[in-house]
Amino acid sequence: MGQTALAGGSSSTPTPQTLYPDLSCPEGLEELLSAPPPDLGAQQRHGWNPKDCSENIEVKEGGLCFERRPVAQSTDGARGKKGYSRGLHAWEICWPREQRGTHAVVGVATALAPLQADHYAALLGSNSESWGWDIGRGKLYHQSKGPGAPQYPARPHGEQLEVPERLLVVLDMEEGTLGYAIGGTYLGPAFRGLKGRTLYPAVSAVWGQCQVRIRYLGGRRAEPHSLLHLSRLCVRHALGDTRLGQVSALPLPPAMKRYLLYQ
Amino acid sequence: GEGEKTYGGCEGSATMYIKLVSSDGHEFIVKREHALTLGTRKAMLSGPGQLAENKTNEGEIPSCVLSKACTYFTYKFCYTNSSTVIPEFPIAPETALELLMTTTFLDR
Repeated sequence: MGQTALAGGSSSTPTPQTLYPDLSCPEGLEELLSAPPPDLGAQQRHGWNPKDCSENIEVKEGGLCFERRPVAQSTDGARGKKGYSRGLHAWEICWPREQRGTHAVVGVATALAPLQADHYAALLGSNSESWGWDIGRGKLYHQSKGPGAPQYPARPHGEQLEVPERLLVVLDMEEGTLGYAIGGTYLGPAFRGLKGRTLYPAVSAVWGQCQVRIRYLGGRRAEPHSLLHLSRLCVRHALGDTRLGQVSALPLPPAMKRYLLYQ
Repeated sequence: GEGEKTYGGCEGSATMYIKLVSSDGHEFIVKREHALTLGTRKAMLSGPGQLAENKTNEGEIPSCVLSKACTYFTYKFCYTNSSTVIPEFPIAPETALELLMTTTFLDR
């Protein structure tokens, strides 16, 4: 079962986690994003699936875009054509801010997640088959109806990030994590424990005539981690979240201490 | 010879195997092909200055680290461009720290 990785942001004293946020960017993400992007054909092959979406959704441009018909009291979702079970994948979602309404959720789903509901809700993430980030409220949902959902990214004073029109979704099926990036900055893992499933890009929407675009940015097959990265993971695990601040006391050159803290 | 499995020695630049020697005198014989897939193996394992072609005296590298590095070479070679599930590569925390201390030039 996927679990949310970040503690709730409701306490006012910064937790060690927010002082040393777990910004462990998936290894290979930088490479993936700096490689030439897939061509139009590939983007369409990894785009929205016209056969796997709510009946109130019309997929256009061969999968690059969908439009939700203005049906009252309905939440509607779509899945991508390709599901991912291995490797690192990233795609860009373009969702105009004035077209989000009360419930705009971006994430992933298994083939079993329902894609339609007869009321307005954060459908994606409301069950065990989907994981989503509510880009209006900034909350993470998995098996959640809303109340008590953690904030993402976790902020010391609970302030919310404004999610712009474009955001990246980063799915690492080797580590089993789902995370997001905005403006070139990875915000950290939002969900963990995803290994062993086949997950499809997914969103759920309530706004009439909203147009949501998807642009696949590429996938990277699983590679063995570098020995340095493996050592880093080992030391971080041995220290645990609460002692990451003591990295400065380790007998390492400054550059290596920064490396340990993902700086 | 044909009927016998030998490793053919480590002298010369075309050998299948090379020998790495740790600071505490242990000798590790690894396949050249595996070790060089790291690219900057020499930078990683050599102390400043000395660099013999096949017998590198790892001045600063203790055997506990070097043995782990040699195991890693094979792991990396085996699971690169392979469709099999990549298993965990176990490292003891004290070895991890030594690895970080001594391999500052490791090719990431």
